[in-house]
Amino acid sequence: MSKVIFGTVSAVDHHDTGSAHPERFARLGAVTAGLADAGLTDALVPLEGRLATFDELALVHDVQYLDALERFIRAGGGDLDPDTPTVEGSWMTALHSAGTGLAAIDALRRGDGTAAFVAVRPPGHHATAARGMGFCLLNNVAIGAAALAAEGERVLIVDWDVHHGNGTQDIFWDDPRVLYVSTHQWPAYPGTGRASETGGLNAPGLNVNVPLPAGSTGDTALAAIDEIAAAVIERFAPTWVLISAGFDAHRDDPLADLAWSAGDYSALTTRVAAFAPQPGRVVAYLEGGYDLAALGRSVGATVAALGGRSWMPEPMTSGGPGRESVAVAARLRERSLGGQS
Amino acid sequence: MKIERIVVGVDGSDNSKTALAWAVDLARALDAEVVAVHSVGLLERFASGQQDAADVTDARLLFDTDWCAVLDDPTVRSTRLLRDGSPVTVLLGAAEEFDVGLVVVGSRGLGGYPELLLGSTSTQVAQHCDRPVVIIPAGFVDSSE
Repeated sequence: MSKVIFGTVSAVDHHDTGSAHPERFARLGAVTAGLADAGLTDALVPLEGRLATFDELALVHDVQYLDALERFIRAGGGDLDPDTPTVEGSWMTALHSAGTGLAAIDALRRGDGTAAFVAVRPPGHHATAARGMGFCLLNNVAIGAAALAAEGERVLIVDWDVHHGNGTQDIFWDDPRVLYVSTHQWPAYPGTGRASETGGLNAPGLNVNVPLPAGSTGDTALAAIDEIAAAVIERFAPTWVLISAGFDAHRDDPLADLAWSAGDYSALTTRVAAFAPQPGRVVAYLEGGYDLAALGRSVGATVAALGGRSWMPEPMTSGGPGRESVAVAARLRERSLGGQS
Repeated sequence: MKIERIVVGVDGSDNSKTALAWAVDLARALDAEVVAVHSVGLLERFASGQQDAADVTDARLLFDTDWCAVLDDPTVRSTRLLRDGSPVTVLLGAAEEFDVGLVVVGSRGLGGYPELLLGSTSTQVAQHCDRPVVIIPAGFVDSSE
């Protein structure tokens, strides 16, 4: 297996949402256990994380939001919305999470590994430039993508979390340096993610949404990549690939209703990582995934695949409803683009 | 110009109840329909374990019996909606779907975040909605009553 860099914020995680909240401390332990079960512990290159700087955050988030969020949390925190609690330790944990993604990029540039996985929380893809929501405070993957784009890189973000990454879409909506591709359940939280949402005037076609119906299986997700996203990605020619790796599309997840397996994440990872132009240009960021056992198996399969090894503790899935949703999404996307897709 | 429908965001907070009551009064005067909308967030889905937002039993019960009690007034036409999503997205979507003439939202819903007005639901709705929006301030008391 090739060298995969692994970073986690577990040692500095003070974002205590309580054990009853699905986005909780125990998720990072499940990730570590999943990697051990996959036999990967000794094969990984440990990453020393760091804090993201204010300037790095400000490439993505409004300064007013950052100032207010830091003050709010340092004063003891509270609920940003009914889904999104914060406590006094949340700010530093969020800075570590964003910074660990940046540290992974730095490590790959040094040639320390061929790919990276960062187990970070709170997750990020719902956080917009000006607002935390949906368990998310800072948009970790967007902060990584913005740092790369600022240095002239062309960044592909593939978001296979079961929920649409409204924050990431919003942040890069009109940015021709970043291509955003999302598969997600529809209808579902946060309510964005229609196939007709294709990008702003300066980035036409650089936002790819493939909404999937409840119950759909991994074959449909792979078809979404192959039949809709692949051509756009190849034209875009990314120099880096970042993955918003949520694992809540797993059939056991309590927050949503897709029917994927750990094996599907293995196949998806292999497919998506192949879009990188060379080894050492792929970083996967943990987003959702709330069934601890499913999360562990799925992360194990994903990280193994990042290292070029197939480990499928559950077979791939197929035959679920909604296979036609990919063709429908393709048509809606084409109509939105006026035939320029 | 005739306002035929008014959409109101409802989350169970005191402010949203005030906003709904204000909208009902206006609808009565205008002979308009009130569309009360609640966005079902991630934790509500988690707690319910239901597949469809329309089946989220706890939220539906609270929404129907408590949060929207003012809609029991038979002199005002009304519709109650539960939709998966974030409040901003759901409100904007409902405004378009029902082709409403007015959107009403409280300035402060559930969750403390008072100093970050830029990110509040009411501000985001006002920024992105292509229809008139009324924001009911926290603590508002209708002195005409």
